[in-house]
Amino acid sequence: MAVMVVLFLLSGICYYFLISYVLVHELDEALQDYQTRIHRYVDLQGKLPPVTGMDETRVSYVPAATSSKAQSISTIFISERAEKRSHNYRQLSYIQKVGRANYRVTIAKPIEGVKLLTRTVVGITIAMLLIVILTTILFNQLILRRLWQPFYDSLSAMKTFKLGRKQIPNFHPTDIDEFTYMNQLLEDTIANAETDYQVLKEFTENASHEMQTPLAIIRAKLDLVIQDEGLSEKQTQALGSIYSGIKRLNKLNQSLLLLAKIENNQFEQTIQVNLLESTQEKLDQFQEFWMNNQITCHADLHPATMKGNPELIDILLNNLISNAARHNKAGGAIGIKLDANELYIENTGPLTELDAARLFRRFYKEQQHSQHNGLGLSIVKQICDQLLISIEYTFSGDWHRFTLKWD
Amino acid sequence: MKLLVIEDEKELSDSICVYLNSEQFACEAAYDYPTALEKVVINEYACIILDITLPRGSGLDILKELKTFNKSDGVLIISAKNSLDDRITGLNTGADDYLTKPFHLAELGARVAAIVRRKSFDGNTRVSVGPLTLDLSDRVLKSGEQPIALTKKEYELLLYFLSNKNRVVTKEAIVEHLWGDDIDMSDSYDFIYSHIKNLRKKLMNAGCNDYIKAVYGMGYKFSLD
Repeated sequence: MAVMVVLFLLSGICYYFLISYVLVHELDEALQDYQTRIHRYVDLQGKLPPVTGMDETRVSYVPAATSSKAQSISTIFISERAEKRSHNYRQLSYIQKVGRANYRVTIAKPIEGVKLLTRTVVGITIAMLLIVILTTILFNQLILRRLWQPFYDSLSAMKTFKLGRKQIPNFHPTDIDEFTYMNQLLEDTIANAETDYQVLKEFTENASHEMQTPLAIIRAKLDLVIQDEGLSEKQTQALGSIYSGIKRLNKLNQSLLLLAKIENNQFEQTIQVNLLESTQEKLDQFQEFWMNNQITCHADLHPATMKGNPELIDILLNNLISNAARHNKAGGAIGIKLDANELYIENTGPLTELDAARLFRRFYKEQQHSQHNGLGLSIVKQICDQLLISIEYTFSGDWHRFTLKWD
Repeated sequence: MKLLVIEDEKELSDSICVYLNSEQFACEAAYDYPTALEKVVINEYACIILDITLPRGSGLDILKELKTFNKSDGVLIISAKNSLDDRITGLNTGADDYLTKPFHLAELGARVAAIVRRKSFDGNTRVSVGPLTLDLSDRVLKSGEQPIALTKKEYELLLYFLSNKNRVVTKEAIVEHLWGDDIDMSDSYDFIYSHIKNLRKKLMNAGCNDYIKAVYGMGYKFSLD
């Protein structure tokens, strides 16, 4: 813009001088023309032409002593009494021979007219140019905006897109080929990504389903094998290990299926869940196990409700509360506080803080040899996302605390 | 009484039959939809153990057929799909219970026994436990007319053992039956020992033999002798 302004000013100035030069040149030619006419008059009549005052051209003859061929053209300044103003004149002065006598002839034409003309021409031109430029800019803006509208529409449509929601953004049809092409490409890419994502999800689900029948066969056969009376101690131990292996595999399978189902929004039904009741119920359920492990629990429960799927909320509470005991130490403690819009569950346990960045990732484990599959917290996170609950992990003193907040 | 196992996995079907076969039950098997349908229409079963996904048809269609023939056989669905929707569809179509694979055979035994009891005696039944009787409608154990106080868990434990008489039942299966499978506290199930101990003590105090035998490293075996 600044460049444009400077350029515009420079070209304006050049334009002004150019026009003024051309006009002055024209004036000079007119003066020379006049000179030729005087010359011819003198040649024909033998005397100088009479000076008429009617013309704006001022002519004067002054007798001169020398006869030189030199002539000069200059711009002079003559003050005029009659108009009480001064004018710029272009003046040609030379020596004219008339018979024996020499006269200095001075012809002058006012520049004023030229100047006015120049200014008018330049003024009008600049004004026209300005108008043209401004309207161009304005039109450009309007046209560009209209032209790019489909692009911005597509951008805002893309903003609402999230993989896994099975919603392909709605691109407005446009009559601009390039944008139609772009939208087509976007739609195809999204559809592909969505399909791939679905396939991936279905794979997990199908794989888990397919695993259940073989698991069922193994477990059923084991149940029959242990009916045998003559099992040795070694065999019994081996069978025990197989049982717990199958149990872990089954648990893993169920967790993966659950994750897939939550992602697929298969828990749609929502009701107002009485959290006080369900938390109390969970605590009663766990009480016996905790007493066995010398874990004490302090619960401070106030009435609270949450809108959501009851099954999911049950799983959420179950995972958080059972985690609190599972990762506790012998003789440890659990603290639970439930308020209208907040629930925290804290427990004693390892003295190091958990890695908050990786905590909710799938298969995250503090200890690699852990018996648990590391899906519990990612299920918790997934449920929280689904139910619009914010979850936060903090570690202070030797308490690990998970805080849930909702509206 | 006859049971029918409709399950396309032959291995699983065989195991179920072997486990459930007893003096009380005789088990038949059907591996696909047409055979199953034929058997169901011709015979009368105390309980049908039904898989949903079958070759050449769906288990749910067999349920519908049962309804159209006005049959009142008990049906226990065993399915790989553990979703609430499937469960509700199954139960609404006329099934009595639903069990997700993989399951413990003891759990299957308990469920089948419960269905058979409900169907045969409308739940109004007494089971003898040696010299004692277990009243299922009132959920009490009686010695003559004298009730013996059992906790809820002890009652369920006793019923579970009765449904799996003469079978070794793992601690894991007992915990899953009594506490549900989302409670997995630890890999040791020793905490059920106190419940078993109390039940055994109450039975023996009422004049029974020691019916509950611990099977080393595995679980328990309940037999009435």
